[in-house]
Amino acid sequence: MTVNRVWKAAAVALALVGAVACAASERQRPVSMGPVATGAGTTAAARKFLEGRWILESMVVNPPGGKPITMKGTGVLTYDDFGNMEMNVKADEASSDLLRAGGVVIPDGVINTSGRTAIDVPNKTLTYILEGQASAMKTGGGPLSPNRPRHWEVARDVLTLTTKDESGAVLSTSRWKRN
Amino acid sequence: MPIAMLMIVLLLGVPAWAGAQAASQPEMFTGTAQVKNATGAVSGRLEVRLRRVTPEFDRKAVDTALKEGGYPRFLIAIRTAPEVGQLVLGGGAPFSIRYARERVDATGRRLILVTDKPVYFVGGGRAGADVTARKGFEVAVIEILIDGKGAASGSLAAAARVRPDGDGGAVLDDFAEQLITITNIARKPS
Repeated sequence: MTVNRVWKAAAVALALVGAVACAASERQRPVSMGPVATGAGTTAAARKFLEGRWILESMVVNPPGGKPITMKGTGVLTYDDFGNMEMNVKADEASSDLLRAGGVVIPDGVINTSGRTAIDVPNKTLTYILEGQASAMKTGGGPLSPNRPRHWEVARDVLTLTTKDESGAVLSTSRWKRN
Repeated sequence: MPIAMLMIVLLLGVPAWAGAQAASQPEMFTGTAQVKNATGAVSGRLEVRLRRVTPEFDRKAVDTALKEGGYPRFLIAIRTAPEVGQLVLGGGAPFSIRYARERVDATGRRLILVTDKPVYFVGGGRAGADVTARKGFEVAVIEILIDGKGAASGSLAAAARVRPDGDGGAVLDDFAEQLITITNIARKPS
């Protein structure tokens, strides 16, 4: 064995001992997970489109067994780059009365829903990720309940969100314009 | 502290009230709330800002909740009902009125208003008072009567609870020994 080989063997031995003796530490280097899909039709593209502030143009609620209610009021929807969606709607008194009678939880004319959302690109839905398994009772269970997926359609700078019942009938339609 | 049990039949589910509501116009009532006990009296300004009576849907929801679910569900229904007015005592922060119903007949007008929180515990703040006794008194109930000549009188159960009387009405339990009387009532449209 040459001197060079002895040194190499010693270095390998030391490295092995070090690897076994040292406590594991948090990985600091980024790990490549492969390329992120960013093209049209991807989750990233959908998120990018939704990101920003949207102003309510119209909202129609179809209470089960009742006449459609066209809400008069204002609304703002924001979607951030972490997938959080916040919707704040303020209905006028007359609309609020009709909506409440139609099963919409709208205390004092205000609907606020917020939370992280999951995007399902193939089905074009946004679903609030509710902490725990919130029951329909807790979340209101009405046409605008957070536990109903939001089906989205986009046309230029207008976002249309609909909620549906279990049979697929549309319960609400809201149109939002990018601000 | 003895708790007064006042057999006040609220308008809950009583057919005689049906169809007797006057047009809902914003109005304001001011008056003097006065409470007396054996050692003296305390009074303060009371202000009721009433925007409208409770919509039929919400009224029925509250009535049904009390009848079918008792006080616990009544509280949920009251707190879910829209704010229809505010009560201000002594210039303090306003309390939400979430139930307002009126009856108008040949003898005059009667208003029953319920807040979603108690507004004052008469005697509950004195030294040595048992604060746990406040538990369960979670609303306040105001009654305003206006006779055919326009003279008004009123009363306030500032911390109260209600329960069904089994006959379509409701029994009101007041935390205080007696109702607070409201005098010098003036009304004006707002």
